[in-house]
Amino acid sequence: MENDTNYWNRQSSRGVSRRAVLRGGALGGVGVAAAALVGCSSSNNGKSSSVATSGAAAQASSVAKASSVATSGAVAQASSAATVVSTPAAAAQGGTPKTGGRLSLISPAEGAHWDPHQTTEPHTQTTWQLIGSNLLWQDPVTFTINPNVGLTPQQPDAQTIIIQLNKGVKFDSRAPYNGRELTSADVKFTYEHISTDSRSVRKDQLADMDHIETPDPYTVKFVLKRPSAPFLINVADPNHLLIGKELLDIAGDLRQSKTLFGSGPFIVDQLQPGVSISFKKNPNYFKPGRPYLDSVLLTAITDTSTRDAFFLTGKADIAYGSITQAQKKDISGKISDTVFSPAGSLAPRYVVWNWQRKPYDDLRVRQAINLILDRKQIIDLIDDGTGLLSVGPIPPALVTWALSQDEVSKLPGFRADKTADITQAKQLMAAAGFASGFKAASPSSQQYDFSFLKVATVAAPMLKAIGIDLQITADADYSAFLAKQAAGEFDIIVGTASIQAVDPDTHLNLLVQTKGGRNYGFYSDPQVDAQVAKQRVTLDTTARKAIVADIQHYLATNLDRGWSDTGSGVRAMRGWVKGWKEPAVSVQLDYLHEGTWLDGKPA
Amino acid sequence: MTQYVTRRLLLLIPTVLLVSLLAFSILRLIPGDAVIHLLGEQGYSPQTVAKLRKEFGLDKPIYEQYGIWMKDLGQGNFGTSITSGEPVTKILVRTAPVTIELAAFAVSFAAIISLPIGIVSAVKRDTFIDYTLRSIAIGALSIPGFWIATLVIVLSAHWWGWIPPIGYKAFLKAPVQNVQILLLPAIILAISLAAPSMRMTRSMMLEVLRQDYIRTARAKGLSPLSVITKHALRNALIPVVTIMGVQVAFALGGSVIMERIFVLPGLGNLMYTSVARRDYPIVQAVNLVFAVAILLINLFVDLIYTYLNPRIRFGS
Repeated sequence: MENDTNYWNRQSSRGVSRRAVLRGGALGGVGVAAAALVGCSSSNNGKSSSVATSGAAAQASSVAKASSVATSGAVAQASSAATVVSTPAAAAQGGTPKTGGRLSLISPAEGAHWDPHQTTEPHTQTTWQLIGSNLLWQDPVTFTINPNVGLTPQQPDAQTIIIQLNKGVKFDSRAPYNGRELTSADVKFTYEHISTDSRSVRKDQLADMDHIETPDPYTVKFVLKRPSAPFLINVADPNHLLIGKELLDIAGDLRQSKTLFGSGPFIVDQLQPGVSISFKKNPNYFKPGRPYLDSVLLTAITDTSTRDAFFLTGKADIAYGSITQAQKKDISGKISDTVFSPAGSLAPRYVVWNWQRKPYDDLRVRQAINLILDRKQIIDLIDDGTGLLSVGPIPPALVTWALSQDEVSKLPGFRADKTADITQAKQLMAAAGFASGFKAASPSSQQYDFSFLKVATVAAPMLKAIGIDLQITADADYSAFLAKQAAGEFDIIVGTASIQAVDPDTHLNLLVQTKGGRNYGFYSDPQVDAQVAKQRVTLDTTARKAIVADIQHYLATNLDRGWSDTGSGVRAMRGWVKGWKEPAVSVQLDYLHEGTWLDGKPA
Repeated sequence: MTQYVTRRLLLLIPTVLLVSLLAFSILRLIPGDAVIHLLGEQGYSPQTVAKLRKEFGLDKPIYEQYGIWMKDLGQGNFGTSITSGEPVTKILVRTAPVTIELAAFAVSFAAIISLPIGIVSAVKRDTFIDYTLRSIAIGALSIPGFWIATLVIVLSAHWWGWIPPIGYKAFLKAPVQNVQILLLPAIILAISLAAPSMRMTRSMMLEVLRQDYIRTARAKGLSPLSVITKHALRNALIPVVTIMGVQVAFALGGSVIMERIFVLPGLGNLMYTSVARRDYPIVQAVNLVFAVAILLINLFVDLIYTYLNPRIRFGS
């Protein structure tokens, strides 16, 4: 641990080098440039001047306004820390928007319930993103913060954020809202509900919030416990949909379908439990002219083959999530008008070991496992060679924050040539007293289309090369797997961690902090905890990037777990789908579809 | 007869109690629980887990939970879904018709397929037709229904750009659409159900066709069709009817996979997702419904015996 201390001392005394500043500045600059470009494409998106004038135009101008007004703190960070990602197919954006038509979407299953704040299930999230509205709009490509129900955030000091609300934003015209206006009280109620509900899955995102004040019906004042760099981007999480108090009065929570009312571009038309939900245009949506679509149909299809066939036969306009290269080839041969675009993954793969069990407390064993993992082979076998190396909890798709691919590819265990790694791994195992290896209990799960099991079966022969006999037990039942994982009844788990957040703070907090909800290996390092806490309160983007990079460098040495790679997803949609701002990452971001329109879809 | 039926109905009570006890305890013996699944992977504190366990009454001893459930059942209350907060009765009322219809269609199709084939196979014993039909039956018995269903979906999508309609429309509201939706899953489910019935029909027909009264009927100059349908089939049907009664249970079980593949919002689909989510009240209720349905069908099958063979008398 002495070395570790030295490491941190070294890092903290180093300060921020000129090169780091230049690199951060360059990235930030590219980020802002990307934001500006997207701002332009956003206006292109809403180029609908004849059909819809104010909505997109106002949004585009507000983006510029946000950049100019926001000067310091979290607001400044939210605008300057725009994450650079590969841009989705621009072809789908062009043309003059046409009104009408029905968009058909698929989800992998109907959610367990309908509370958007208590689940990460796609069906529920998509539903709420269609019927709800956000205080602020997180650009799904650059992740910059833009006005929506709220106007440009103002930050008079490091612990206060003031947001004025648009006037005339109305809730659903049906009971219980009866079309009343959305006010600051609703914003306060929503964020307090998310941050205090024991079942809220995103309450950690609002942990820095002290309280909310509502000086008048159109002003919301967030008062923070401490300066918080990720606070604003967390406030703008696409799943933080605004609700009114009367919704909770119906049944005590939002789990039942009778609470599906919001202030978004669509309203629920018909619900067929277990099968589909249809939406129709909200005539009272606060953005004039939007949405362009008359209706949306969301069908829940659990069986993967049926889901693929649904898209292949033209029953769905957008394929669910990301597709594989093999599926892409198949679809290309069948549907010539399909538009494919990249969808970065936020789900790094890993080999996590149980820190509470021996011999994983021995750095040499951890190093041996890290060295023996052949990331290229994993990417080749599971992702047709199109994945990205992931050295830590920050997914490489978030290129502003993750270490560069160039840098990662030179790290031990990540090098293309495995000869030296394999030799060294065997030497380390021998030095640790495990020359003949050992057995490792490794529960796995068939959940998520066998994604855990796939990586485990690919990694097992690699570990066998240094004598680690991975005893994989694949639970068909996900609850059983979760229980074993939570109770620490394992030596090694090979899996993926999909975290729907674009700020590094959420990934770091959940995955490597001692109390992190997804710190499955029970890793605990006070220095890492301190650094994670420090980046959270560091409002200067360049300085924060340096801390985040340091954490990653430290983890690459200390090995909290054996990080591997992320897949490189592809999104598929029919050529007639236009104007949808496709999320740059393969998570449920921006399913508002308020700007989506159809061009030439057969009736 | 009334006495017999009453006795059988009374016997349902201990059986259902036993099923309820098994359904209740087995689900709690397997690793994982509703609260852990509900909170998922996103992270949670032990305090949150304890709070939710208390909220759902899962902090009480199992026997106490069972007692509460039985008391509620006695009042006609199946409880509330842990995940969705919906009353279980409401969920059952919504999903049961889909599965009942699918199972009824499947068993009917199985009968329509298996009886004629079994009869022909017996009448044409040891001929090419017999061998062919028996081979088909063995094939149908060997191929899992979910595999056929997946192939139907995947291949028709690839070859013809078509997939069967999915979802569900109630028969009374949209009869044509209802049949269109249920036809394919019911036929696929019926294929695997038909094979044992066909083999049983053939065996029983061979047995009956060797009897003296059949020879007498033929000697009297009755037409072959009349001999087979009026004299042979009726006597051969008793074991076949027994098999078909059992097949209703298989159809209900098979509905789990068919409903998932064809996106049918029935009890099978509900059962699958509820087991995965450890939604105890739903799983317990569906198990009870399945158990009661199967027991009642068995009783019904027993009563049919008296029609098929008037010599059978219950209660005497």
